[in-house]
Amino acid sequence: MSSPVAELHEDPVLRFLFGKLDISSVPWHDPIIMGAGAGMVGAAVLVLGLTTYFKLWPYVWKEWLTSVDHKKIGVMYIILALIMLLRGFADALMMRAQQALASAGGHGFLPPDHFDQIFTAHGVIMIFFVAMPFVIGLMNVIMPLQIGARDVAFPYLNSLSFWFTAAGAVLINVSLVVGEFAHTGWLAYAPLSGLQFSPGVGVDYYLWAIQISGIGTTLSGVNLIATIFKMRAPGMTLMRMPVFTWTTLAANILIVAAFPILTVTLALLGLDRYLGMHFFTNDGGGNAMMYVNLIWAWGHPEVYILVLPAFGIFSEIVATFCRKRLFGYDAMVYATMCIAILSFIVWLHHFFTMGAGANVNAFFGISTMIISIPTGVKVFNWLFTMYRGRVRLEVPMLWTMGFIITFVIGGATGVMLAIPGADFVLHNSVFLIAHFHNVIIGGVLFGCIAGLNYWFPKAFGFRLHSGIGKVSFWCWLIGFYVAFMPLYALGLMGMTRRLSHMDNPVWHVYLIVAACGALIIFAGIIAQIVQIGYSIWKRDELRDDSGDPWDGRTLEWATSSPPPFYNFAVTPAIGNHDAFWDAKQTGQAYIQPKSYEPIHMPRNTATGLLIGLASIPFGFALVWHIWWLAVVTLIGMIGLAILHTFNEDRDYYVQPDEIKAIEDARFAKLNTTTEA
Amino acid sequence: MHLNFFEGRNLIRKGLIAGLMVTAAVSLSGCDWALMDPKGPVGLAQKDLIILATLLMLIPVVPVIVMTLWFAWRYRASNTKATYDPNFEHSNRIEAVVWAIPTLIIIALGTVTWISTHQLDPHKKVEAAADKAGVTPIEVQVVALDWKWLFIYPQYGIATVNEMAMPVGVPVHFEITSASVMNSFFIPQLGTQIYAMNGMQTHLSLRADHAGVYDGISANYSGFGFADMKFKAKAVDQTGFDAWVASAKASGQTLDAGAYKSLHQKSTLKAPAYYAAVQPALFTKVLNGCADGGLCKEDAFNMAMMKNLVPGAVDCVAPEILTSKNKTADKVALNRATPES
Amino acid sequence: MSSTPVNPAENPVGAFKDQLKSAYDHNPNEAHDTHDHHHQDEEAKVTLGFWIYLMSDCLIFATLFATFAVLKDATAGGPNGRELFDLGFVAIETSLLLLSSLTFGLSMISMQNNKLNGVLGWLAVTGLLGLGFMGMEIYEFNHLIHEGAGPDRSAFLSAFFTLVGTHGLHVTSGLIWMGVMFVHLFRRGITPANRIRMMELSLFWHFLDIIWIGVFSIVYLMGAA
Repeated sequence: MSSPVAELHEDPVLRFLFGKLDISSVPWHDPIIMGAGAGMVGAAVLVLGLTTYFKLWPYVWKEWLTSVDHKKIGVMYIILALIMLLRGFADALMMRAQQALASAGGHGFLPPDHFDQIFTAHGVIMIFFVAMPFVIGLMNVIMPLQIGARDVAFPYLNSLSFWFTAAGAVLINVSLVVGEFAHTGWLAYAPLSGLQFSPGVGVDYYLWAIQISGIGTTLSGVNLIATIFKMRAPGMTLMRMPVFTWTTLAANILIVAAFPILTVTLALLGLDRYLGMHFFTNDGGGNAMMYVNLIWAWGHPEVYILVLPAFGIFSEIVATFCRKRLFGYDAMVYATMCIAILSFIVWLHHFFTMGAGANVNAFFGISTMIISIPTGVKVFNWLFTMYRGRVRLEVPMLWTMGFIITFVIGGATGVMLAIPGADFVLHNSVFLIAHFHNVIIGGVLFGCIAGLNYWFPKAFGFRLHSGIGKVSFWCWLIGFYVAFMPLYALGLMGMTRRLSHMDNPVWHVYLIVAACGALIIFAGIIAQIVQIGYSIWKRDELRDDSGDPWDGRTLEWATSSPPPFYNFAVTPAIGNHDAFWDAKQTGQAYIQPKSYEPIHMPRNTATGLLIGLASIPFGFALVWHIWWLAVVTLIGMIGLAILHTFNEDRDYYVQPDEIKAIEDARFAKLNTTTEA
Repeated sequence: MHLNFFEGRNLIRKGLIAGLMVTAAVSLSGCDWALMDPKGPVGLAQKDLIILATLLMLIPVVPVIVMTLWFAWRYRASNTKATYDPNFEHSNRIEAVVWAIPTLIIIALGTVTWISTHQLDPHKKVEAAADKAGVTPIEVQVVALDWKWLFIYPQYGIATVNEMAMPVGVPVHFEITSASVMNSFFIPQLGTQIYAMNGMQTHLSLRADHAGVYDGISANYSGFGFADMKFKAKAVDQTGFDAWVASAKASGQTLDAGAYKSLHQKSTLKAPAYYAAVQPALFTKVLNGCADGGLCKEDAFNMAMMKNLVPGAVDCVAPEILTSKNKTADKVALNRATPES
Repeated sequence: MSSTPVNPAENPVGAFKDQLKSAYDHNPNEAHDTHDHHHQDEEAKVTLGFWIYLMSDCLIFATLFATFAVLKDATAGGPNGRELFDLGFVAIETSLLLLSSLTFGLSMISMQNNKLNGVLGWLAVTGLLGLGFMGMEIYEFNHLIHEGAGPDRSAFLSAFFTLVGTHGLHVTSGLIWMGVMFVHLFRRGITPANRIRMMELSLFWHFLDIIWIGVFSIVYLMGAA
């Protein structure tokens, strides 16, 4: 019932070489962990083996690993998110199974120290390594296309950002097999996460996985803001940007403003753990309440970093699938920015029960509720976009409708939690769990999958199979309600969160239902995988040569699918936020220019990949106190970054002949399609 | 892979059956809804607040759900009879309504929030029930330990672990702290929870209006023994309460430094424990981080204040300095008198 | 461009068409122009990006200042600022950094005048002043730790060392960057790319100066008062 306490080796040589790491760091005796570990290693070996067997390494290296193309980086982000979704969801299934099995007096199949790691890992993975990369991936693929840019402002930095995120994900997966993960809850509240109460390496894995990926996220935020401000096509004023671009801007401003707080907070916790400092310790004058305040000063904006882009995705989808201009564009934009600003003055609602005075609590409660005003306006605007439209119930639109219905319920329970008086009994209950899954699954995840279905043909040139997509949607939607409505009820019955076992026959029934709901969602995830696999297999049947399979409205649909590496042969000019729709209406779309001018493009570079890769052993070495390795890898990373500045051959011009050849081929295809 | 679809369908069926079971369970056992079945004035106010908020939120939620389905049906692409207005993107009237509705609801709810937050402020002392007017409230000092709850009754000189009692209708004023990590002190059927934090003291005032044994929990994850960190809160009549105090007195155990130390170990307790006597000022010592010995935070703070006021007064504050080997740096010598040493 | 440009606000589609036409009618001989545009664009992009980065860094310091403010009196029986800080010492340290900002400015003026030696010379002086600053900071830290007032002594000292140390880490990065800048300038002289680099470095250096003024007033002056 205790966590393995990693100790430094006694032998000085071993201590120098391996720090705290030894053979017993791997839980050889645990069948669940070993099975999962073997599965992960097996999958990795299979992928690497197949790549070698089919001699794909040059292709993978050139076209993906070292690519600085925003579309490819975006796709890699999304692949990372989907892989981590499987890991995070496996954790969810285990939690639901454990609570279902261990709620009638039994102790289930997971001891508390394992269960506690699982709910921590589930939260960390789902937020940092599923939702974040999914959202950032979609922003990367689509936003530059929407503003008519050729790439992001700093392509190499973009590659670096991605590989930092991937490195964090690798580190968290390593923790499954080597050592342990934090058993502190996903925000690692101090002092529980301090050395005194968590002496193992779990919290260190937590710290470094998030720090490394968090730096990637911050850089990505800088990059995308600069892209939006400096690289819009001529004519695209701010108030002509598509709403998804607006929400991307808002989310990235939030990233740049909020992630530094996270970086500092985790750094201070790390200093407590590594150098014996006293920021959040019980002794030495530390102040654990400060940790809670700081982590939520990041944590609440983080919620909007995730959900604002999802709002943007829905805005695009609603307009497209209702064949109608988005209702209340200006209101949408103002509402987005209002939410972004308000998100910084509500953090205290996460801990009304800390004992602040009534005035403070009431202030934060009311400021939280005020956020629901712009959010409500958005919902009504989506509805009035449907009003007098021509609604096509394609897969992305289904997700959008599922979102609107689910999200308003989640919003309503959120407002209930924002009333301090009510929160005093609902706080930390599974009612809260139901609430935030209601908005994160119903909002962020539905948005990401809607976006995936919507923009997949843009990224790959063929559609995702809609029948299987619908199966996946219904499984997710029904599974969501079956899994989380019982939790609302359980919350009202007084069930608190994070219980590894309990003895209550009434709760038991509800928890079994919730577990069934998780299984239905699982079926939805399987359907999602099948949908992608099947669509790749039948890609010729699902092919779209027009570049505009949904009759789209914004610029990304103006180029071919997949877009050429330079996105647009000629920089488009914009007169409206529905630029491509207007062009189609006036017959200006699909006109091949007579001649082309050279296009300035960045060259691929392996620096981002190499620095990202080096950050894995760097993090690992810090977790296990292997100082020599940490120093070597740190110097390596800095050296690589410096070396990169000496690479003067970073960009080139694509010559008009090459562009013409690519564009001719595209227009030849377009014309056959039209004639057929 | 296709198998999974059937599995999925199967699961849906199972889910539906389970759903029916839930409906049955709900209708059979209304009293399992702890928050909807409060036993004191605080919980009662919170129940009403939750119901009011739910009703207020239904005002926008129901129309939105109806409109989503209705618009999707009415304006489905195949329904060519429906009006199609592809450029309908702005209407002052609609905009005014969509801003006004959420704003009005939030004004209403905000007012409710402001009033209820002040009424339900945990610092506010609950009054005694009408038939107990003028009775002295019970003072209880609560210490969250890994993973058990210690209750000290300074008025009676007793202490208990994982069980507390209170007379029906009499307010109970809690002072709460933690000897280790953060927990949350919560008796769901009585209302309001409040954090138990190391080095901090939180206040809570509750009252039970009906006799009964209520579950008490920690509502903030605190480590491996968290799920077993539970206690029973017994609401009994005055005679029953006196008997309960007497039985604790009869236990013969003393919560001295040694007993506290063993309680402070990481463990869970199966059965409650009772102490007839408690070492003086235990709660204050826990609060100041010196229940296990060492320098109390309060004293450290006072020393720091004194140094600020009288910079030269260092020597008379900490006698440890006199025995310190290194006298060269008088002004920092105080460091060496670390609480740990 | 053959026709008068259309006002995009009045006629969006017309403007779209207009712009397309102007792009199609592009004269390949103007390629040189494109290159120049490219450098200007690059400079604007990098400068904006660097400013955004600096803002995020500013938030790092803001958070550390807030932490320090919260923990200022949490001395846990240990020494406080008045007992520890030697204002005269810190004043010299501060003046080194302020002076280095001035010398960096002189280096930038030399760059405006295309005088490579001036750039290098003033940059070297800046670097030396920065090194002096870091040397003094390391001496101070070492002295405090030696006296038993290390970062593990109390929350106040943890906050002090972390805030000042983070600034020091930034100055160190700046010094490494200056070293790299030297090599760049030696190799290529004052190229457009090096101009951009120098501009960002100067922004960075002045930013650290501003942060230090905050550290000096809030940590040292108010701490020793």
